[in-house]
Amino acid sequence: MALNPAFQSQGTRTLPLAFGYVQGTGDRVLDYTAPDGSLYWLYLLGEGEWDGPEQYSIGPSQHLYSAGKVAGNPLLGPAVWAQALHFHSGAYTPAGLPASAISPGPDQSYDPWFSAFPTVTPLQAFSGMAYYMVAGGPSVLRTITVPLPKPPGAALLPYVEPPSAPIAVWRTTRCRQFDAGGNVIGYGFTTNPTWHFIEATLRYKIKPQQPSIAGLTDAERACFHWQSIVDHAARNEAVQPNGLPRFIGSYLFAANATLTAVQELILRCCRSFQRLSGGRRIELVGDDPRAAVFFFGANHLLPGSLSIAKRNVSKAANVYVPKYRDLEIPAIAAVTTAVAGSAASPQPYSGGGNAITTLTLNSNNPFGSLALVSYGGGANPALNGQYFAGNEDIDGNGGLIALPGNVLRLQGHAAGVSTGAQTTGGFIGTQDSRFSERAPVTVQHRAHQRAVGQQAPGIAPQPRLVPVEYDCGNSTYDQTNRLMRFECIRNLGPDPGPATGTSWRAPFEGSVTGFLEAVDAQGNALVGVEPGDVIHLDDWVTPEFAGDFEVMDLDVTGPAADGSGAASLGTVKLNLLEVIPEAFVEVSDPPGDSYATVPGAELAMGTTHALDTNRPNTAWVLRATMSVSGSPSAITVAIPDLQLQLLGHATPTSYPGFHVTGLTAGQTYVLYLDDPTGAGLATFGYQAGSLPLTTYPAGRYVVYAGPIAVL
Amino acid sequence: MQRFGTGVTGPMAATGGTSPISLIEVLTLAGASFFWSEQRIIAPAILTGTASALYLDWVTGVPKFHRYRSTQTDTASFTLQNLSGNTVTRDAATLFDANELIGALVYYRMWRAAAETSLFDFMGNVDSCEINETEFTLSCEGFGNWSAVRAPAYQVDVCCPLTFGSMACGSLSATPCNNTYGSCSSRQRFDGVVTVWTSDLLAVPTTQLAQPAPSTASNLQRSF
Repeated sequence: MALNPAFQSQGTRTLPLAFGYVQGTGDRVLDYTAPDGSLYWLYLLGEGEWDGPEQYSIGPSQHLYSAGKVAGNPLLGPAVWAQALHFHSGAYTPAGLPASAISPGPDQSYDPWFSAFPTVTPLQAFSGMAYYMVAGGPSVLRTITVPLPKPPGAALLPYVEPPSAPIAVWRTTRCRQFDAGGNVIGYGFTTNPTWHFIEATLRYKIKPQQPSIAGLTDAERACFHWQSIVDHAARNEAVQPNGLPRFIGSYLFAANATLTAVQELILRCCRSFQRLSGGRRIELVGDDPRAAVFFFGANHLLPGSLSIAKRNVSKAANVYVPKYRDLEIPAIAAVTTAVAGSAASPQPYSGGGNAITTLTLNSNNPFGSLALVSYGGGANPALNGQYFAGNEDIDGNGGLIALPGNVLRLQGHAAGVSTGAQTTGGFIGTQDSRFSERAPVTVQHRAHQRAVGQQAPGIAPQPRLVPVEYDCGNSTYDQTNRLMRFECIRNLGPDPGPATGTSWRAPFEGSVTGFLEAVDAQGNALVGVEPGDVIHLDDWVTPEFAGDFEVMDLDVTGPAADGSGAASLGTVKLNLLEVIPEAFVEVSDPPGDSYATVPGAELAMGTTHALDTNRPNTAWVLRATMSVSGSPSAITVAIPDLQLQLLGHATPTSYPGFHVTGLTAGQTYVLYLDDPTGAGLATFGYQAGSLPLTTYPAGRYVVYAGPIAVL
Repeated sequence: MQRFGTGVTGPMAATGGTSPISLIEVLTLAGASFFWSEQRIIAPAILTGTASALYLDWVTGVPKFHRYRSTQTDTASFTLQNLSGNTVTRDAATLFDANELIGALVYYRMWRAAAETSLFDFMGNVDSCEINETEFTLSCEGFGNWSAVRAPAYQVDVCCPLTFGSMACGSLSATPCNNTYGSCSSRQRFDGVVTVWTSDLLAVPTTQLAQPAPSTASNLQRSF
């Protein structure tokens, strides 16, 4: 081992921005082996705050384990990793924070494992960056038993296996959620692309380098069309028959790019577009069927300005390939029957303790050794869940589980299922295969392939395939299939199939110019038409091409100052694309064998508007320089520069009068304030010991948690 | 779709009547404001909040706008006169010389004076301005200039990517830093990664390596 590790300067690399679920290790920037052999690694994840690890593995010898939070201890994070992983969410570190303020996370105080590094390493809190530290070895004590599916009663061991190649599934950036008035009504992890779009726009254009829990000033609020945003969020959140929201988003941006690239991926994943309503307010519009807003007649038309043509699709792509990482678990094998066992009759298993569920597959057992198995889609949904197959000898208590033929014996027992409960059907897969890379070629326009594949007289047309790839982040087959079919039909028109293709035609596009002050029979003004709106060309304008067209972009020319020219009163030129109702696909193609997934094994999707019950009052301490006075047994702590950013408030709130008395030097306390109205009028208090607080009434905010300095 | 009341659409649909005029407001970073129209008119101003601003009759030609359904940036162009002045200097040229218009806020309204309603709005920034013997042209980009905004915005580097004095930085010092650890006055918020330790080396190095002083460097991803 290296006792004098060398300093190495590092090259620059982008700190990622992520939304939704991503899988990865992070960027290792600190790696140290202590003299006793304990290992400490620090990984930067991305711009904070992140919500935390959903599943974690220390390396190929382990699997991705899910875990919940420690009950009643909101700041210690997942129990299973408390001894080996410290996650810090990426809030701002309080300015003035003493070096003694240490915490294993998820707040942004100094991590206690920093003390293992040589003192030449400056203490850093990585304010605003989500990061985690992992450790293993003799000095890192295990304090909490690894939970199920390992058999209970496992002995505690002092040694924690060092990580070899940690990887986790992360719940990434927490986003603000707003109401129709532009007020912050929630803050948390979400897979709703609406809130991703708003959060990215706020962070990089409207409110850069400001706390990501802050509300908006009136001027900032005026930059958005909030009703459209709320409607768009609800549209994405609508639950489909498969139980998932209509549109979800998970993506990671790790290369130098622009806000355009970020927005385009987000909008593509939810089949939407953005525009400036009234020329100044950001509006989000879902690409769904919508009625015409202007009926264009002959009296509106600038003579000679109508031009309609077929889209030039001779070289267009006709195979639409979404590239994504699958958020669902690929189905490895189909299940014929499943039988739930019990602890009393564990069937031929000598491991002891846990019940066994037996699956009969339609193929040989696909697992060569240990695996975490997800089962779902059976006739009895009560048996859906996660099980364990094989010998996971985490603490030396495991026994071998025979895996003969096509019978799979799984350790674990779904809650509430009685012994002998049976079901049929379903699929199995393994947690570790989530995020598999996918690029299905199921969306093809076969009529176009044949139309452009004509060779010569007497030779049958040969389909000419022209693929195009779309980056869809982390997604599902269902969503990407709907997105690609939308793109395909919109660009090429409906596909009647490969039979003859004679009924296929390319969509119409064109342009038309109207007088600036044109008003239709319904009282709608042409100058009010915006990009993305649908207009109707009536048959007085064009008998052959009458119908609905979408405005792709428009040119507005104001009135001529000198009144010269035929268009001296001003014009509006609309560039149009035919509206094809079949493009708005809501039901995906069947995935078939290649893309089938395990039903019921999805990660939790959607938005948690409600704040975390373990962190009910969200605030960041921006500044807190403690002043300690008094006698060792009667310490007074004052924080004259105390400043908090309360959730949803446009500006920070100062509490210069913060003080508490009666503390004992060297002891650990939680200092807090109560400000129910958020107006800056607060009372102050403390609790001996560590977090969590015993109660969290509305408006109670933690100011500091840690030891009080000795005078 | 922007909708208007019958008090606005009625006169528009009728033959005859007055045509709308342009109200162009420009506000520079230095605080200088300019108001232009086709006619000399007093009207409210958006950028300065003035209830009665005098718009000079400098607008010539036709204002042109292009709006997109995509993330492409909307654009606008205005042409103003460069004829008025005295025997020596011209007003527009003098303005062009004395003020920096690049990046200035622009707000345009197609104004129906009788209804005191704007038919069409454009908000953005001056992207370029050109002047010749007779005309002064402003080219503008819209508020949604997403391609001009870096994202992600930060680099992992020994230098801090934050802007000195921003809320994320939190420094109250009167002396700006140079984004290095040594010059940082808000070290709890320092976002550079100062030291990288690696255990890749299997042998103890023969040369004593001391922590070098942080070097002054430019973090190109630093947002301004």
